[in-house]
Amino acid sequence: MSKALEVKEVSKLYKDYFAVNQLSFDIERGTIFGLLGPNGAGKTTLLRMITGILIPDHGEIYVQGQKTDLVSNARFIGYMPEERGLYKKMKAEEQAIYLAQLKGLPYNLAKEKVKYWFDKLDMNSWRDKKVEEVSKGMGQKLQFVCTVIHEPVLIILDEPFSGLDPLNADIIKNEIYDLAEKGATVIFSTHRMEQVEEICEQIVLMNKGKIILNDTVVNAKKDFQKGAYIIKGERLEYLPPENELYSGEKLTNKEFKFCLKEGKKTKELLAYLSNQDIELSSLALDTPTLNEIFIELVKGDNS
Amino acid sequence: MKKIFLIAYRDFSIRIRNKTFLISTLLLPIGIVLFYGTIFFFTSTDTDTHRIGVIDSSQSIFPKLNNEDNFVFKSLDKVIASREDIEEEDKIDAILIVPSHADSISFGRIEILTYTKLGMLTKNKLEAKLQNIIETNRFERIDIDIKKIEEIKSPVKLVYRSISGGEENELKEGIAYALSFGLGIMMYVILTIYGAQVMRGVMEEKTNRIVEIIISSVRPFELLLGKIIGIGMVSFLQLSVWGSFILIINLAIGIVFGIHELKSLPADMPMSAAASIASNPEFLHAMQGLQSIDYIPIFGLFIFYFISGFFLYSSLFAAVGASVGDDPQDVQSLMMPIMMPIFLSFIFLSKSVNNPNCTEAVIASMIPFTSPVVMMSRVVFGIPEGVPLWQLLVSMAIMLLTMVFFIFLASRIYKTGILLYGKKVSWKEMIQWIFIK
Repeated sequence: MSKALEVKEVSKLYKDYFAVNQLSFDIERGTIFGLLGPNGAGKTTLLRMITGILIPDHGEIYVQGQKTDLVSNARFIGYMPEERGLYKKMKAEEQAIYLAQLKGLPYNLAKEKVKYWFDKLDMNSWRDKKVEEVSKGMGQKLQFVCTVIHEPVLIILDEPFSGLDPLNADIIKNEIYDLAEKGATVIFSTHRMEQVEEICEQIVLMNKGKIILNDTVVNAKKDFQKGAYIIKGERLEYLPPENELYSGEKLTNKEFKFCLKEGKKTKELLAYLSNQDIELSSLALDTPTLNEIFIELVKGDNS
Repeated sequence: MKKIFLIAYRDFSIRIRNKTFLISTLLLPIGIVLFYGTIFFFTSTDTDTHRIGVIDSSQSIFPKLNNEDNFVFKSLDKVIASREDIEEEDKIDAILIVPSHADSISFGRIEILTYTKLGMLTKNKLEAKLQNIIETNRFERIDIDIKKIEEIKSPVKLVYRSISGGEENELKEGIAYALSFGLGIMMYVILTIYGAQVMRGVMEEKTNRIVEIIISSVRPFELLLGKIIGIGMVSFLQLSVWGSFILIINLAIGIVFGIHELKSLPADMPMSAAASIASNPEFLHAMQGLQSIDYIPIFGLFIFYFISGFFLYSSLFAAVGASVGDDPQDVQSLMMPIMMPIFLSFIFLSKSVNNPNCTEAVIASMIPFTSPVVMMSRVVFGIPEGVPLWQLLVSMAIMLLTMVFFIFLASRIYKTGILLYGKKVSWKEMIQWIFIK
């Protein structure tokens, strides 16, 4: 079976710099995929090329094995851009039907689908309200509905949670899980790492138009571990910051971070700690957050 | 293709449901009704009967005052101070006091005492009556036959014949003048108002940030075309409402006053039966002239220049709308180069209505940016009198080619501009966008 998305040596040149430079990666079907990167990394340009809004200067993009093209894409890609809005003077239901029709759904089917989603997301009381009359959160929900209404196999969400309150964000998040379970592939672009960590299985980290990391979330975290441990407990304040066993750092009065010196084992550390008469409540590997990985990589890349 | 229709339909339906559209569509017919009403009011006789008492001791004037034109004259001996005790049918509106020497040449003054205010029209008629009687009296006094004078004064008519043989109808020319100005202005209004609507529609989609959602479903070119067609339909609907209204009014007046019978009569023949229907022959004459113009080619060409001119200008307006950032103030400077030719066509229009074949008019009707306004004004004067057929065909061909070319250019600018936010754009950059893949 062909992959959900294949990006092959894609470049896009703006005036005097590469917004996207020789980029290659692919995504398996049914994956929730995170596209990360600082502002100006080229994420939006890449997403626009995947949808077919922009045409790459070099390279090729395949969606479900077919070369990307705006018209044929429309039916099976659902794109929620970062810069998004709705017609303010149009009624919510009317607008959703219109956008579904533009995706190629016949009117009756569009109407049916709108009804399904409005029921599901509890939006029926807003059906006949103009967009300018409803809350911002409701507008965001409507945008989400418009993105997925034609049952796309590839859903591209650019900063989907910006401006959403936690309650609505949670609703949308669950819908995303739901869609992925049903077989849709989701590309999730953001610079909010904690969301990616929570939702995504695979990530690509971009900086200055290039990929600087392409891995699963689990592997990435493993790779960036530095053999550090964090212990929690009582009377940690008496521990010396460094000795022949470790170099450490007091985080709080009840948290302490160790890095074992070369050749030393965890066993030795535990023995040392019990000798020091410390009451341990937990000892854990210090896994880096994606945020830390992100900052480290981008800083290293920029310097 | 189906998507273009969807977009056009949305833009069309959302605008015709708007209150402003309803108001502006109805306002013009109301204006026309008022216009015709005013003409009718001033050319028709008013129906109120005016009773005028006359104190004329010399009896030089009263016997000659006929009870016509809604005037009833009644001889009186003295001024009545109060009308209260007079019976209803004897109530008078005014008293004319004729001095004994009223018709002498040196004296030209008659007083009138009014009980109720007399209208402007009534006053004029009364004055004309008196002037007539006094003139006749004066002629009689010096023994001149008034009939001879009238014979001498019989008018000379200058008849223009064009070299191709047809007799020129002065009246037709006057009406053509008005019509050509009217059509020129109408075209101007459509291009500016509805062209600007296309621009605002594009800007709305851009500032609303919905445009990227839409162009992930349809090509930017389809969106642009759909929008232009949709708004074009709105303006077409509005024009049709106005047009059919004018037609209905014209027909209604025609039927009421029997202009169609009149039309078949030679101008010199006495307007016997038909003329007696209408109370005012001048009014009829004007209506007759209105119907002497050949409307079918004018209508066809109006549609042609309307569509092509609208596409040409609104695609440019759309390019501007797509290029401005979030600051509406940038619009003004970018709009200038587009508005310029429209203003210019207005200047050429004033030339061409006076002389549809002058050099300025010929040139301006070839340039596609001015031709919709200027060519329409020439066409009204007839083919080939106002514009030779070959010029018309060349102008139409240039128009079509330019339209296609500029829609292409504009759609390139539109495609790039619509996704860029925040930055102020220069013309130089817009031209660079044309070449972006």
